[in-house]
Amino acid sequence: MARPFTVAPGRAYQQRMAGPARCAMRPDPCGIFQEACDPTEGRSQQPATGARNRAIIGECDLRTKGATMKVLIIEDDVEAAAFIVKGFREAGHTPSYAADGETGLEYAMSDDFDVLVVDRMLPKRDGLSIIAALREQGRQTPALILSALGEVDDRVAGLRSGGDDYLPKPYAFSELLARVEVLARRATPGEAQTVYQVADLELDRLSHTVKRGGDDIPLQPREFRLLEFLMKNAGQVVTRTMLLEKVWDYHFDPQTNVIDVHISRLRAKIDKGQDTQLIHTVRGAGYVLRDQA
Amino acid sequence: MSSATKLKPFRTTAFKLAVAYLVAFGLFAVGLIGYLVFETSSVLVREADRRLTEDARRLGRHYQRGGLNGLFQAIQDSAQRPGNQIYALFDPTGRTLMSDFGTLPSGILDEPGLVRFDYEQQLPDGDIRQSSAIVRVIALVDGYHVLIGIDIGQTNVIRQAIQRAMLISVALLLILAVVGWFYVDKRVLKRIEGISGATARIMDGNLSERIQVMGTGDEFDRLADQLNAMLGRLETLMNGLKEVSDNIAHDLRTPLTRMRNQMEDALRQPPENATDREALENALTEADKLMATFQALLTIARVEAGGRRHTLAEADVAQVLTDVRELYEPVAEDKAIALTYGAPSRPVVASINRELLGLAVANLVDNALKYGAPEEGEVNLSVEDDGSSIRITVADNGPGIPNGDRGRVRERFVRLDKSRTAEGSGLGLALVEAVAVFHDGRLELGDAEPGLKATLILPRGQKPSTEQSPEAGAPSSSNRSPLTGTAAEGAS
Repeated sequence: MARPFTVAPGRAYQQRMAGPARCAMRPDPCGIFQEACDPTEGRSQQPATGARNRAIIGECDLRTKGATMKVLIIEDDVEAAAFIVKGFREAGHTPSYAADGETGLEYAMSDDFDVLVVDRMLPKRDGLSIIAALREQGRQTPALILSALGEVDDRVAGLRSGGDDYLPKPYAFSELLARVEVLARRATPGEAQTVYQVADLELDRLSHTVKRGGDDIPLQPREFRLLEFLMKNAGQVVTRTMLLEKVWDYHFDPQTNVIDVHISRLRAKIDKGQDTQLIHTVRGAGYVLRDQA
Repeated sequence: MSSATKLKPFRTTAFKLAVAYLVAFGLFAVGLIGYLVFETSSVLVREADRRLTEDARRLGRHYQRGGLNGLFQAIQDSAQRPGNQIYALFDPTGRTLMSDFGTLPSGILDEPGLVRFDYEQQLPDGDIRQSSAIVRVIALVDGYHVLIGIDIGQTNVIRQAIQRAMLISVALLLILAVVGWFYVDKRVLKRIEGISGATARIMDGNLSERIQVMGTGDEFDRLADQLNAMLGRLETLMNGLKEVSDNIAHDLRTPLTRMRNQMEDALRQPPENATDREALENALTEADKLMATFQALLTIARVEAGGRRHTLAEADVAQVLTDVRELYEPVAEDKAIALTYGAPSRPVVASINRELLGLAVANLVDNALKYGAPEEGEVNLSVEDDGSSIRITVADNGPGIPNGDRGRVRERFVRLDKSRTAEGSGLGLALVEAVAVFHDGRLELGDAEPGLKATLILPRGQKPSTEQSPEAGAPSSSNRSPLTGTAAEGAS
């Protein structure tokens, strides 16, 4: 049986996309892969699109490492998947897509992805069991679970079964993108740093000290944790929800401007009187700590 | 708004009815007895008239036959006969020839027809007793007068008896009325109080409350049945309304998210011009607010649906408050409001849903900061544990909420700001209340004098407070140690 809405990742994907017949067929009614139909165009355009996109979010390259992620999206809602795929592509990443659990697991086993985005309820095999099967095989690819169930206990169940993050539907794409990028970053080696450094800002996790240009900056414990999280994910957009989750360990929607006020306080301590501002606001998404240069 | 005021016994319908019935029955009894008295005496008079006429005729015949002696003899005979006839005979000069009367009113002989008067009766044993009589004077042809009378002393006795009966019956009526009033008051009023109490609780928001049906099949049971049926219908309608708003929130969330994503997408494209960009960014902010409202609505719906006992876990309530205080401290500081929390020395470990409780306390603090405390005011957080329940209090020194509005503000979308221009969705307290109910507790809104004192009361389950390390209260998903220092720090 044909899988009209699935595209195999990696080599298989490129093979299938190579022939002009494929392009003519356009088996995908919602236009997920239309842009990818011309492989040369798709490939060559991507960095440019990515750069442009990033330029708009933060007027500079968001990912200090500059690496594109390989993301596997396992989602049976074609329309939603189309949007995610497009979004990841525009953000300069390489998305692959599977429409059911079996195919998704097959792809996830056969190729190295940086991050998996897995819908919880899928035909043939549910999202949690895909992750469980992968973990059994020793694959530690970080996985983000998408779910229509937004309950706290659902989140707990999702994280317990090996998921690394959990996002209830419906979600803002910027939230998904930020979380996936943070997940991909986390998987990269060299994570267990004791000292984070961005430009002339230095945070020592062991001695709990923060220095900017050699000057000590006294921070309250929560401010320290906030800065630690921002620096750990330097260059990555982090959303308000993520900050509340990671720094305060609460998952409810932050009220109005609570997080903003914390950030502006931190900003006053870190950036005030400095030539280079390190903490930046990304409208409609969150914050990013990065070196302007 | 709150519970029904106790009925005043003298203002009840039962009392008024009792008084009305008492007056009506009293008047009726007096009328009836009066009529009886009147009728008996008129019957007596008629009967006397008849007998006297007959007697006069008989005496007349004796006089015609036997002259004065015959008459005298007839009177003597008649007096011997049993009965209450009394006689007197007068010669033409008015001298009494014989008389059963001790005294006689003067001028009696000139009276025509029936005359009624009191007299002293000469009893055979020489005694004299007060009595009254109805008499008739008959003038004989040769100037003699015969006075024929009937003693009606007996009827007076009857009348007195009737008067006594009247008094007794009125007294009995009074007693019956009082007893009846007590009965109505105690039994019937109790049921009416039951009904008004139930309606008061229903008005306080507990729509599932019902009026008790006693099963006696009386009119109160019928009334209760009818009211309960009406309440059932009301509840269905209210739930329908709630469902509709929840469904709207649920169904609009997805297209709204899509819209938001489209805007975000548009913002990611190169800027055409600054105004378009700003418009898009503003639209994005508004969409986020709308989504937050829907999210709150759905959270309330989910929390109210309850049935999530398994989400309860042992956690430190005091730590939740520390977290929330710490989260809101910069916001408070920006408004120059002192946000204080006297953290207890020991953790208050209870079976809670930490997320929901955090959300509820955050909402209370958010409310206090937004609408409660004035500039340079204060908001105080506290937690008390008396072993059977935990009381989390958030008090501000702002304008407070008038007593009459304290029930209303818990409803969805109810805002005290009439113009609805102030920031906020009007869902905060509804959410807090839902979280309280989720924990089998309740939300109390009181007066902090001045200001609002919102108290979240969570009853403890079977598990009493035990000695636990602070770490026991920390969330299981987190491996960091709780920040113990923040609670003690003032709003510097």
